[in-house]
Amino acid sequence: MDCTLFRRSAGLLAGAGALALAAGAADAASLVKDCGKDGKYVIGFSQANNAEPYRQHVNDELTAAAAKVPQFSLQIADGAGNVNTQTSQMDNFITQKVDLILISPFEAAPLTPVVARAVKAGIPVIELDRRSLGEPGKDYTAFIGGDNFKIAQEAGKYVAGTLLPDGGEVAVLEGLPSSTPAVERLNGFKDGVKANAKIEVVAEQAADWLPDKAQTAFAAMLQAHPNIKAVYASNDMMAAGARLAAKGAGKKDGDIKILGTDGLPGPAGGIRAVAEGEWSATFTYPTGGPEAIDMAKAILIDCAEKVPTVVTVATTAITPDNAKAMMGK
Amino acid sequence: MNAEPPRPLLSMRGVVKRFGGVQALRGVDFDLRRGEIHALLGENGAGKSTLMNILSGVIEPDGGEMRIEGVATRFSDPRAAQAAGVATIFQELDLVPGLDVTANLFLGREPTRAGVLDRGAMRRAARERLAAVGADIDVDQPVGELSVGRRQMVAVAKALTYASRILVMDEPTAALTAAEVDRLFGVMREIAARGVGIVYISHRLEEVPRVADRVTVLRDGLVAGVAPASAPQSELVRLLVGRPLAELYPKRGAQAGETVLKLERARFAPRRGRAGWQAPDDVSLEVRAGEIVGLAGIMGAGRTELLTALYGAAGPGRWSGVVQIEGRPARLASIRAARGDGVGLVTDDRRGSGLLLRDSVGRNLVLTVLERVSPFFLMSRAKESTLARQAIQAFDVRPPQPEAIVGALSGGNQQKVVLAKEVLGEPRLLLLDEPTRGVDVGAKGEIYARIRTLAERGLGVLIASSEMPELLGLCDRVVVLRKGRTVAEFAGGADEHAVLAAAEQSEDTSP
Amino acid sequence: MNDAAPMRAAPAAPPATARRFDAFAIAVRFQSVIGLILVTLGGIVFSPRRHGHILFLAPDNMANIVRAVSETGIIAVGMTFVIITAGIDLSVGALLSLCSVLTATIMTSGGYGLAPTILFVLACGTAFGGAQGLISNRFRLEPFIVTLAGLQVARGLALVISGNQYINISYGQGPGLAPPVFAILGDRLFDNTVPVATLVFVVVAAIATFTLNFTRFGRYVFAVGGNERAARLSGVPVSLVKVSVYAITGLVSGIAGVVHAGQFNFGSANDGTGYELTAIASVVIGGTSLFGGSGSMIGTVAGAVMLGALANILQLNNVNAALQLLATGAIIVLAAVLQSLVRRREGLGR
Repeated sequence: MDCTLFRRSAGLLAGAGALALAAGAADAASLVKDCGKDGKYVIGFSQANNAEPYRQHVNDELTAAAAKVPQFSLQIADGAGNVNTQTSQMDNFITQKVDLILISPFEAAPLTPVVARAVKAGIPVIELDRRSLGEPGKDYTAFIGGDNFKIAQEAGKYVAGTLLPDGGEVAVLEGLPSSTPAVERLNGFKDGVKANAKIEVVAEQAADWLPDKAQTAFAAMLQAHPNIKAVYASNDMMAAGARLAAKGAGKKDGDIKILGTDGLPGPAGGIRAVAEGEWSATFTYPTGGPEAIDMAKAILIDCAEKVPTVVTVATTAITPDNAKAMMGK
Repeated sequence: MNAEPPRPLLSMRGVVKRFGGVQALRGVDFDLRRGEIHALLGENGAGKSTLMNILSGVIEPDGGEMRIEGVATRFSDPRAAQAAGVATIFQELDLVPGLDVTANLFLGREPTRAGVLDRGAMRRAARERLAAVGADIDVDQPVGELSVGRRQMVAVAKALTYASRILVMDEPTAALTAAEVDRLFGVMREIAARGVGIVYISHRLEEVPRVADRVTVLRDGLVAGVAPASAPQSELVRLLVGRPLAELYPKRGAQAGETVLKLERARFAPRRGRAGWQAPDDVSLEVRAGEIVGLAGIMGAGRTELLTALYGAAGPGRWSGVVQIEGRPARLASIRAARGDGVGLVTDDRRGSGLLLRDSVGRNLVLTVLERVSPFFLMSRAKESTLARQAIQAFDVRPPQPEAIVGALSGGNQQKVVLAKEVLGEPRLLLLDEPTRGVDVGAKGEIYARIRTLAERGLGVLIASSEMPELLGLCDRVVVLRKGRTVAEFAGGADEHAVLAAAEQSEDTSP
Repeated sequence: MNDAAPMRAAPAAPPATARRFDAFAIAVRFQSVIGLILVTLGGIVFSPRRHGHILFLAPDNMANIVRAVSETGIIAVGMTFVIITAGIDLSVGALLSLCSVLTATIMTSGGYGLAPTILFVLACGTAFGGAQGLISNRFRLEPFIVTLAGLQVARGLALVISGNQYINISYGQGPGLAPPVFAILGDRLFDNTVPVATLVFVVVAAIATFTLNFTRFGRYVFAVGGNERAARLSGVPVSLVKVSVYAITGLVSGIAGVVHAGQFNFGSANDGTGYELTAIASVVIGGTSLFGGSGSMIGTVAGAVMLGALANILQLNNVNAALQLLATGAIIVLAAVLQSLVRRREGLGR
């Protein structure tokens, strides 16, 4: 199982074909039989839950990337946060004989069997952002996604090296404690700040990804530790809540370094907040959408015989230096 | 039943039970012989239920001893009592309405064959059991669809499945028609003849000599006396109340005034018919100011339905025929309309539909006059308190505090609150449905006196009751209802049997 | 209502004990106030200290607590009316979300002015709640079911209107910008001490307390919950009351939605999740019976503040989330047990 790390900017829409696909041995057969430049291909995307704004963002990026390939038409099915719904939608894709399936499984174990059914039916399955159980390259074609631990680790390193080189007290706002990304981001950040021994993580509280809970929790943290110099929020909405708490405690923007995660575009997202000086930085959680379409192109149009089985898409740090430029994109 | 066995079937000696600060039983002795029907009388709170709950294993006594056939016994739960052959039919029948008769009869002790319910055997046994109590009931019918009388029979049959020695019946006749009561008494005598001892709890003094052999009267947690069932009723009342009761019913009023309610060939057609709801159908009667008119009839004759429809509370529907209140035609289309016409109703179910049990006496009393005590929608505590205190005084509610929680009052005092609440609304026609149901003999007299006082002040009163002596003792006239129709009218004090005959006559011949 | 109604005699009344146990009944009636005092004492004992000062009691920490509970508190106040009528409203959190989305959308999409926007949103909330009341009443459906459906509908509408995005509110003059004065909802007044959201909570709670205790409508609410049939037979306009209380929860959800949008400067279809449960917990801890007929508005307010104070003291000590959930759950059970003891003491069933 090889692991290829692709460095990409968050300007993900550039279809530069940077996806360097490992060309396999000459005698290997292509992954799907009916491939080639002239075909028309239906790609089915089984989304976990449209109701989360981040997932909407994934849909948007995926739609935009697919629109650039004239041979592709993309169908998005909303699993609505329900494994049963998502399973039956996957079965529909199999019945329709779509040419390729993308899936973000809402939960790993319950969706593993239907992924296997699709592969058995000869449909390549690319898992996006979330994995089912089983081995990529064998039980499904490939996994494309960000690495929560690494993203948060980048944020930790940024605090340790750039924001607080002289050290100080730092707080963490965790996501929903039962979710894997929440744990990975918490651990990643704590690992990242280890680079600077003078930094001390004095408080960590779960705020369930929600701005209102983050505001309440960070207000209490500021009471208990008035010298907190930076707060790492495991998503952008909690960073927004943390800023309100800082304001409530009489702090001005910049007094406390606020770091978000996700780097969502739009007026309510983190990129704008950094550009306007409300926060110090946010770290994009790449959707993997363009990468997924690139891989679909490789499989369906270029008749690739082999694709990388795990593609980790790197984060981009949004800082005051690049935020304004990023906003235009 | 003359052969007296040397030792009684059941003997309870010095039984003591305390609930928190209340001494419910202060050392009660109670004997039951084999084959005897022993009536247990007592006002509410006298300790009858506590004593029987101890006998049936629902609660454990604090002191005293209980012997069954000479063996000292103590039941830790109802199952233990059942295993010892003691069965109890509670007032709230412990039947599951959604299950059929067969399933109810064998609930918790279903016969099985190889772990599977043996439906066939159950149904056969169920038919036999019902036949044994002389009841002709379809064993496949859900219990909820049966009349109360039939449910009672099912409960008796069920209790007999494990009542090998003692059967306790708590007010079994409260909801039965005269014919059903006769049948039940017959069954009871047959059971007793088989050697089972029966404890029979009742409010109805007049039933005691008809069925029982002996009477034990409880008062305030003590035995007030044991008497043969043939003892005169006045003697039983003296034991019950602790003092001689001068006169239960007040003297009849002088003269009647203007007509308050006039019904002539009146008929109420509900928009949606309901099973078991006997709509008023051809009712002719008059209630005049100062007059108390009784409404007699067997269960299902439509007494409650008539009162409900007159109060506009019977749901959507239309009155036809002559319906006049104080000489003017009335539509009585809704409760608010009826109240606007000066009609007031006291329901037969004060806990279910009469009172806010968890609220105070004062707040209950002003419920009908909230508009009067809240000018501009703001509650006036002063007006509220004045009205409540007046009502409490006029009806002698005990305790006399408006702050007392209604649910903690005795049944009689609760009934007084319901009555006072309705009277505060200043009705000109007062409809009373079973005004003394579940009320002690002592409190009954007080309630009768207050109803008479109201009539003397110019109210027209229409009373529906299933207690014939009450109707004949209290009312100036009694109108008999049968299948929603008025069929006869008697003067107050008429012969009970004549009224009963009119009420039950031709029951079987009608289509 | 017919002759077949089984007779139920009143159980023996224990008048002698009624007075003796009154102290207990009063204690339970104000259990949340007592609970709040206990939590406060606990807060003082377990609070981190700095330079000898108890952080828990610091004025701005107190302000943090009452700000944090203001939105759920506003909702709990309305919920108290519904629960006293023995009803329940599960749609409030979703309705808050819908109203925050409406506020943000209208504010940023045209110059409708501040007051008309807020009034419109509040009218929408009231109409939504009232419609649930009407449906439940007209078709005799359990409020649980109707408001569960309402929750889905409100959440769905919010998703559709917001296009599943956080609708940001930017302030300024001109098209697409909200009047800057609206941002006051996220501010603190009086030398940056008193959160405006809390002031809204206080005003709503004061009006509700007055309505419940000193108006005819309040008495109707108690009567309907205490015994609906008795209330109807006594001439109380039961249907009107039952529809009104859901209109009230709709209104308070609208108010909380506007406050939410003002505090966070955006409207979102994802917020307010679980608020209905926090609000119901506040009401129950406040001593209002889910069986209806009894309750206290002061108790609800104290219950809401108590939950906030409890979370605060745990957060000040950096206690993890699991323990916070356990503590809240334990308090809800305790409150319910006390209620049940009172009911049993009154002989009114379990």
